[in-house]
Amino acid sequence: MTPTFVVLSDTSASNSQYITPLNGLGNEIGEVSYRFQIQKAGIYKVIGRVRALVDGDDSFYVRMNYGRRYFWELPESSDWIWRDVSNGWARDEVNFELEPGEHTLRIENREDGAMLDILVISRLSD
Amino acid sequence: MTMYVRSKPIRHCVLKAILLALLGIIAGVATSYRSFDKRWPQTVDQRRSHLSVAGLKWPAPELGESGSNPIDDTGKRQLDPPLGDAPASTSHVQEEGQTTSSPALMDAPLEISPQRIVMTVTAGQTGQQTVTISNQSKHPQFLQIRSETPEHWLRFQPTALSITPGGVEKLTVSCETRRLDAGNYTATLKLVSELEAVTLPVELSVHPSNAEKPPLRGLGAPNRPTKLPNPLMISPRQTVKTQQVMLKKRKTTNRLMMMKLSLKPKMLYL
Repeated sequence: MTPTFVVLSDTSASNSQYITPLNGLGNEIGEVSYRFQIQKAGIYKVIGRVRALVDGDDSFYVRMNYGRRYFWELPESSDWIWRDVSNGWARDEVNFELEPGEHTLRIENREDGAMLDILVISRLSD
Repeated sequence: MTMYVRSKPIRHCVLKAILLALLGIIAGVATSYRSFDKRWPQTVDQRRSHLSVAGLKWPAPELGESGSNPIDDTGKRQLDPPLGDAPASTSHVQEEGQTTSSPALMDAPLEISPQRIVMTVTAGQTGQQTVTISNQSKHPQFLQIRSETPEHWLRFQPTALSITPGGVEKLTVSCETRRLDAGNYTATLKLVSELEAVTLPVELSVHPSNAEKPPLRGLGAPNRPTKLPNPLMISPRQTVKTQQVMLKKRKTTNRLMMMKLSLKPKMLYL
């Protein structure tokens, strides 16, 4: 996790903590990486519990294993909400085809202030 | 004749063999059933383990250790903390083979409201409804949301989520009616958790749009609506345009041509 991303407290977040590229530090700087392993090849989705309070703080970039970078636009909400990782303003569906083994998921700062609580990776099919 | 007499014992042998084979099959089925009945778990806890063996694993209530986390056969696993400093909230991990067996999980852990979605939408518009999902158990619950029959008009978000004990999350269900005719449509969403699969019926009623169509140009005086006759009579070289059909009289024919339209009568400005 690069210094742009910080851990902040919120009682409505899971375990009362979440991460965010700190508002005011600038857009498009910094990233946070997650390493995980899968045992079965298949089509996977990434789903996040997110919050975006205002229009200017409502997106991340998402990249799997240095692959294509997706622009994940979040809906504005004062509550934490679950949303599938999508691409672009139209929120096109994003699936990841993964082989067994270790993978790295990167969440990059697109607009500082966007908040991420927790991520889930869910397999759709083989 | 000789052939008939000789073939009789052979037929008996064949019949005997078939009977013996049938008896063998019946005995085999009975043995398998007894064996299955013994293997099938009788209690909820046992069934949970059974499901777990089948590949349904869920996040453990305790925090996991950092490092890389294997995702099980179902692909459901919450991620490790980020490399470096990270909030504890992103580090739910369940090790392979771990299953929780709290008596609290025997109760229906999920409360879903409303239990049925009914949307009434004007054609071309979008409808949306929010479903509240509460976790009544003392353990985190992982949910996958699926559409039983993929319908192009039905959308929902998210497709999976995790709910903390006592937590409440929202599922957004929406419908897109741009490509739908007026009428009633149904679909079924399934919310699959560790112990149960909850069915959420979706009913959509699409009403026809009342918006007036703009008058067609080049067909005579505007502002004088005329009901399109059915069958429609077209004079030679006359072209009648509607939004759905264009009929043109052949130049070589001199008589009037009658064409029966399969469309509903339309209002035209002639």
